[in-house]
Amino acid sequence: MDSILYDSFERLLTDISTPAVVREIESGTSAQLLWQTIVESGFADAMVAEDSGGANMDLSDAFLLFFLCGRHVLPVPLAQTLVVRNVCTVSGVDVPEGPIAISSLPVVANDQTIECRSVPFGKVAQWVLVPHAGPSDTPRSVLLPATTAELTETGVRGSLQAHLSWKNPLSSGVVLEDDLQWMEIAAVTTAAQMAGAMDTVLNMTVKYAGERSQFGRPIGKFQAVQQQLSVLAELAIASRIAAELGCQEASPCAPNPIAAAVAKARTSEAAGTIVSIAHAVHAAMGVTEEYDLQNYTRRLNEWRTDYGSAGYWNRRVGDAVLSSDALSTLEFMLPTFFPVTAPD
Amino acid sequence: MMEPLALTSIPAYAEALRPAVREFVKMYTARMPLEQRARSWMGFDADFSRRLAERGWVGVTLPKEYGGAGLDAFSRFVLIEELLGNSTPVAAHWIADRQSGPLILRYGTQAQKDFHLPRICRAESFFCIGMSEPQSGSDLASVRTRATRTGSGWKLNGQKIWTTNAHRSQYMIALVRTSGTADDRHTGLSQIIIDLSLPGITVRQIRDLTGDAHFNEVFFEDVELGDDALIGSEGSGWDQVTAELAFERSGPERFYSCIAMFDVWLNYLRENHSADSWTRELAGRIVTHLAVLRAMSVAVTEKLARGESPILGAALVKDLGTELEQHIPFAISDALARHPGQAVPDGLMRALAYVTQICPTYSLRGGTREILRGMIARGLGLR
Repeated sequence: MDSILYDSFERLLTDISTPAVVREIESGTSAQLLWQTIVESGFADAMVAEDSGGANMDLSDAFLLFFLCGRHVLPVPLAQTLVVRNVCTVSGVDVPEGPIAISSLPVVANDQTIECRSVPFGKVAQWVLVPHAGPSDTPRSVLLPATTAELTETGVRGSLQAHLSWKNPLSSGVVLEDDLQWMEIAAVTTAAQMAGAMDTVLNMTVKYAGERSQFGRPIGKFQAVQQQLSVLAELAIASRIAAELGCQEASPCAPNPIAAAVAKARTSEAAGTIVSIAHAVHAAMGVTEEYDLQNYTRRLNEWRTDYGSAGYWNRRVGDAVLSSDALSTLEFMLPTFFPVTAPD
Repeated sequence: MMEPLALTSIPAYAEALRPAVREFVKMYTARMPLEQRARSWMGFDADFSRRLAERGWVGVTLPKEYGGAGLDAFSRFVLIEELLGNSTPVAAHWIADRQSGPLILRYGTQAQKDFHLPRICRAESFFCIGMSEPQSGSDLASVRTRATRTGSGWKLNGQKIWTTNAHRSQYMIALVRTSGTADDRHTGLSQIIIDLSLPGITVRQIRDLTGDAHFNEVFFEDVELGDDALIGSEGSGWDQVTAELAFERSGPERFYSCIAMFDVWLNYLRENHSADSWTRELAGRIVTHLAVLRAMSVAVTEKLARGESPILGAALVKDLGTELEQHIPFAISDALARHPGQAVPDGLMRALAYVTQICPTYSLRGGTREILRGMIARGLGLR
């Protein structure tokens, strides 16, 4: 994919997703204007086919867009929307207007009421994709308008999450006849955004350690601090490649489910350590409202548990390896995570 | 700031090597007891190395004119991934294959290349690395072993320690001082090739806590070396050693060292249907980490294949990889002991005990964790 595209996306986000904008939207300002700018830039259709007016990126290409969304903690679910818009065009469903959130596993009551707890970006989404919520056992998802939902705030300060529930979902929803595993898709878009946020946290923390002096020299000159920053860097780089691994498209618009599990498990595990090192190095300054670090660490703390924690996804990987008849770990890992592509 | 590692796939021409290697390796490891396989690349078997050489699989990155296969870093990755992922005893030729051969190819004279490289490819010459000394561990630049010019070559005096397999190698490539004093640090150091059969050399084995003897002390007393002992340029030893480290630190030997143990444990769980939920998560976590490390290692290999010297990327792989390797034996023993009184086969327990005892060395050999993190901090611009 052309690097010019990524560069212009990064420039766009630098302009429109500033720390000030992030704070405003997180404190309740409408995200409408921000979203409009993104739509006008054309990036909302990055994954849509060219003959439908998009840039035809597959999941693997879009990894870097997701990553950049995270690097700027974009306060709207663009990464998730990119995938859903593509699935809509492919399924012949009218693409809905506005940002689309993806819900974690919903609770469907006997009366067909759908309840989605702590939907990431639920406060700023106009639509919510609810995985596997159809009336039958067939795996199909439903796109539900936020306008017909009962929205309850979580009460967590600055969080963009919300609980949403629909009394009569099928009256306003659009059923997608897909067989996609949306938890896995949400896991990899989130993992990539986490890796992006980690990259910013790394840069901010290294910069701060070079500027803040104690005992007559920058704290970054002390070995104890250097060792911690090295761990932060290692984990950020490991998380990025883990997320990229998860975003490899295995079938149209879908990741390999076990690679997706690896991506979310590895980034979620790393996030906890990264956040604690970044805050330790920044000391009290890092926990102030005014300083930008918290914009990234608060989001990392949410993302690491959204759509399942490291434990949830590691369990998936464990089940896969223990139920496989591969004779060795190597023979399990290579075809699962690193399929050999036929030469062109 | 550091370059990220980008996901890279191994090219098809390199993957094409895998089936033949796997078939050969499986035949060999089928009759190896677990305890031997648990030794991974510390397992020494000259016969195995020679049989690999007969297949053309030692020194594969060396040019064909020297008996190598003229393959690139990706092909070597595939080869060694199968060797290490199946826990074969590669120690005899390992150092020569991984770093001494490439070092001689890069810095050696024509005569040195003509002499050493074919012998390496035939697995006739095994190499060890003389780095540490009693007073020089992580502070490698403080080495005191000294080679002084004579009319016909060099005279060597001093002592190396912790030299793996010196007692069963034909040659050592040592970092020694050729001018100045220890205070001159990185200047005045050179690399020399030492024929370990020469008079004046004493090799004394050091037994480790598992009962194995791979470490050695090596003493040099007025050892007369020819002019051709010097490899590369006089005084450039530090830079040459640094360049070797990218080869030494990025490979799968930094995360597959416990894989035999892990595989046997997984099979034990499958056969006994005894994996509780916690154990399944634990097994999954190890595979999760292995998959990411493997992706990182291939990304570093791609840089090697392009002729770069990815020292920082290699340091990342080694630090994260050895952390996982050291976690595995403790995780497995914790998981097994969640069911007190359970009959675990003795072979499994012996291998587990071996790995548990030896694994502290994983983050010592090839540069300690603390030194690696210091290098990464330098890469971040902090020092």
